[in-house]
Amino acid sequence: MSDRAAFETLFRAHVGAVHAYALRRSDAATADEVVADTFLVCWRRFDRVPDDALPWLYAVARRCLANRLRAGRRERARTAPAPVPAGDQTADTYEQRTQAREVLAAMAGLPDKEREALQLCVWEGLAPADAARVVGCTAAAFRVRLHRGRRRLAEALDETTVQGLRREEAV
Amino acid sequence: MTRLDRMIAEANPVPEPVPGRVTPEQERLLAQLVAEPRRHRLRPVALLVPVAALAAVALVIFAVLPRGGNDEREAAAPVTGNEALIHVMTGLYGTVYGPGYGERLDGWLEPSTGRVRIVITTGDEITLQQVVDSDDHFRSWQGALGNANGLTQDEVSHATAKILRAEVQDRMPALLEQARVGFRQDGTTLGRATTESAEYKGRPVIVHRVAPTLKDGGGPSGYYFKWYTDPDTGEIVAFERGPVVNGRDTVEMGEVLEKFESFDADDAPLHELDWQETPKMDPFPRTPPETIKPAKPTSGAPTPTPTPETP
Repeated sequence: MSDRAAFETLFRAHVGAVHAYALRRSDAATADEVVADTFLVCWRRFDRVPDDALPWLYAVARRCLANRLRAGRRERARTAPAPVPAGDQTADTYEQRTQAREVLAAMAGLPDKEREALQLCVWEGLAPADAARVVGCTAAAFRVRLHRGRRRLAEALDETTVQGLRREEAV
Repeated sequence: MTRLDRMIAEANPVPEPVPGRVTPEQERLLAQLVAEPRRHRLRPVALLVPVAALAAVALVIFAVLPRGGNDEREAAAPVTGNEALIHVMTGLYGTVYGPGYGERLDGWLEPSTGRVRIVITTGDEITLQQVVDSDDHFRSWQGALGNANGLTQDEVSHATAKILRAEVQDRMPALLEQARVGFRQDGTTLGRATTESAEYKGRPVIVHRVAPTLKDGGGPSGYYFKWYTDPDTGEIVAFERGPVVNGRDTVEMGEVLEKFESFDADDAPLHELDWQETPKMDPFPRTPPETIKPAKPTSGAPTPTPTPETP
């Protein structure tokens, strides 16, 4: 198979996942730019792409996204929680949607590294060892981040739940 | 999946994409990309001239300089260009290493600043971490062998910094050189290396073996070191050292090169050079004391020579 054909196969297999990765962390316009940047890097360095390409692509996308945000083009995307597009929600009920908003708000308060660890494992479905390759740390360090992120998020959600109950009681 | 993970999954703002589904915009992007010339295809051509020049210089040095009385041949140092980060990865084996002590070594070097980080892991646990800053500030944490708080070092050491940089830049030749220096410091003579063709983990290699002898009396030191080279390229693929027990080489410290890569400035994961939090150790060693293995010698330390038994 020629490089071009192999690249086209890889592109079609993973472009959706890379786009979803970027969209979960930025707005739609930035996500499109990150996808273009990522696959441009991939094409130019196709001889260095490992067989298990997806973690490598996520790692490149992560850097491309950081570059975009560093450039200050869309600073808003860095601090705001990822948007929940209307009509495209995974949650079925009002309670689930409310809970999802609370979880997103709590995740936005986590340190960047811990939030990224949780997102890679749960949203992108990566194993810790693969996710560690994405963020460029050892698997051991990644597991520490994951553990701390879970603990901190659980604590934050407990507080949110308590506050929500108090609000309901006040009403 | 835990309840918390389920909550995170339900908060996922973007549903899992359908594998293989490509939007028309993405199809257009693909067409644009493959129309773009691949810059890195030109790289080998661009490297031809400097590589040829380096090869010529190396040949002159090899032919002109005196090489002493042995036939040991070094693999050429990897050609370094303008890489922002170098990463070397090796597999560790032998009686000193193993579960709990170290199974894999990763070394990173930023050539422009001299920053280094070396980590030994077993499974997912860090058992050794060494970091050198650009000002030769050296920090080390060794948590293997049941050290409750790890053995730590924190000092400015130009010599250590130099050794650790070489260990990443040129890992396998550095191991070989350390063995030579160590044995010589320990009062032995290296002599000629014997060579033979063999197989190492299923690949053909040339084995080079040195059995140091004592300067005082010329008797066997009881130790050996050997290295395995690729017969085509001369690259060192593995290194071993240890005692000779009942006439057989026993691997005390073995290391096999698994990966050597470099990154340019665009995609160098420079955070690999940052000190990472080391795991908390169990103050009570999990390994029964009687089975605790000897401490791993520090880098560059001379290899002890056993006193030959008197008949």
